[in-house]
Amino acid sequence: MSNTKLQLLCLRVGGRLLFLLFAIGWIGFARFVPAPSPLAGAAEIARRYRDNAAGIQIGATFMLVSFAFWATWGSVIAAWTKRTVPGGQILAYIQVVSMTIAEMVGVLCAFFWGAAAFRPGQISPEITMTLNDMGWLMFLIPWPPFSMWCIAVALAVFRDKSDDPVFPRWTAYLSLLTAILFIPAGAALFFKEGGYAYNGLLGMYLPLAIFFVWVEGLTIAMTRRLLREQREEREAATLEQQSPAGAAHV
Amino acid sequence: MSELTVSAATPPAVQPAPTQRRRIPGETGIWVFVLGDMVMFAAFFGIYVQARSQHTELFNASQQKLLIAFGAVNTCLLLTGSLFVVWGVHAIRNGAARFAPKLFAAAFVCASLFGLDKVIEYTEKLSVGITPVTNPFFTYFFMFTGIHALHLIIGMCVLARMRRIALQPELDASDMAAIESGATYWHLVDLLWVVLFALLYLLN
Amino acid sequence: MISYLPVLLRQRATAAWAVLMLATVISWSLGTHHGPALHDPRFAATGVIVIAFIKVHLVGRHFMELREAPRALVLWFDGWVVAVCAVVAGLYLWA
Repeated sequence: MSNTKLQLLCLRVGGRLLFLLFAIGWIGFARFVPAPSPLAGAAEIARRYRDNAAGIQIGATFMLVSFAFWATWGSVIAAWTKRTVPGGQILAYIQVVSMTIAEMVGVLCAFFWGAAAFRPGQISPEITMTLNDMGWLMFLIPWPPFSMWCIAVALAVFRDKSDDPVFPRWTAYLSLLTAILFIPAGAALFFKEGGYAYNGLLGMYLPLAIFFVWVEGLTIAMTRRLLREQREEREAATLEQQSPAGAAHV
Repeated sequence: MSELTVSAATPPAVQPAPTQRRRIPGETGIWVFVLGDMVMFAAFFGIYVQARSQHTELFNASQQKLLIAFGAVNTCLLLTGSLFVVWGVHAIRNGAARFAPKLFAAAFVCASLFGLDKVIEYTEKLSVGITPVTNPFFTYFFMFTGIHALHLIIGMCVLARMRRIALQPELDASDMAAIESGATYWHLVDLLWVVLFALLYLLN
Repeated sequence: MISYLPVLLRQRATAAWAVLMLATVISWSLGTHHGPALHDPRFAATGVIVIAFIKVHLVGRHFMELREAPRALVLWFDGWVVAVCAVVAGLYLWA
């Protein structure tokens, strides 16, 4: 398939699948909305995992699959950065390394939640509670690589001086805002109740939501450009076919 | 700033904005950031007041340990810095661009003094054994003022860049946009502190 | 620069700054109860909150040039000021 088609596939399909599969796993099967409270006792947490063991196991599996698509989505942006932007190679590397860690972070939290659901009830509830904590804290406190990813993208958009940039400048500001909105996720380590806990508005729900807003925002902007390029390629191909001498008019 | 050395006193390429036309100062995108950040801080404020009402005694007692003078001086520093920024932008728009770098530098000094003040305040707290995990009030205190301090540090970089741009002999439209956007960001840093000062230091 | 100072001092923004500084002092006194003795301490606290958000509005209007900005933006900003002030004051008084 053509270069443009490959990018569209990785970006659009990848970008949407990473939400969809995650949502199915996290909300649908694991039923982590509403999230468990850090103040819940070991017995209560163990009960939650025991009652929904299958759901959490299946949910974790969906989540683990969803994270694989971050690689496809992020790489389209990184490749654009590298080829379009002055200094783009460095910024692309920053993005790739940051997204690698981000993906690993995601994988690990699904892993801990899955491990907690592996044999609940057969082990001490404190162990289940700890595995649950590890899943949620892993989900949130490694926010810096995510912010770095956003900053690298923002810098790339700012440095793009082409006449018809793929990403409008507001996407750069959105990226910076996203980077900042991740910071309260770090507070989840210090609070067990209230807005900053791992079940809190600022500690968890907002950083999660803004991540998806950011991904979707960039997906929309780049998809628009890729579709246009695809249309232009088709038109160029049709013109070539129509011209009998097949004269190269590039 | 000697009047004699102004060889580059050519009027800027940008015309003063007519007051009748409604325009967004700076780039539109900066307001995406500013409004989004304000929403985040609004959530901070709400959560703080909510937590305060649940632990009122504790919060009031802990607040006594804060030196309001630190907060008040900081507020005045940021307000004055903002004034310098406004003056700088005004100077550029009205053919007095040569004064702008000094004014932005003055704002930078205000910001630095705020930073110094913060360091002194934090050190003082830590020296008497008050840390971010001492109690919920101080967790909020250090976290909010810390995130604000991060905004301030970014603001100082922005001011430095504005000063560098203003030093150019001629400023085009994109320079002006950069300066206005930077100014908008700086005022955000100011207004967020205004509320933080009120909530953290004064509310009891 | 000295010759330019009078121009700067006559700016609206300068007057706004003076008001803001004054408001800071007033809310300082309200916050430490060094000001007028008020029957209900919650009165002072509400005053502190309201003054803070008035200050934010002034910063937006006179420093951030919202006087000349499109109405949609002004609405967003002032909407935030009013809404957040109401929520903060409400939570303080009734939560």
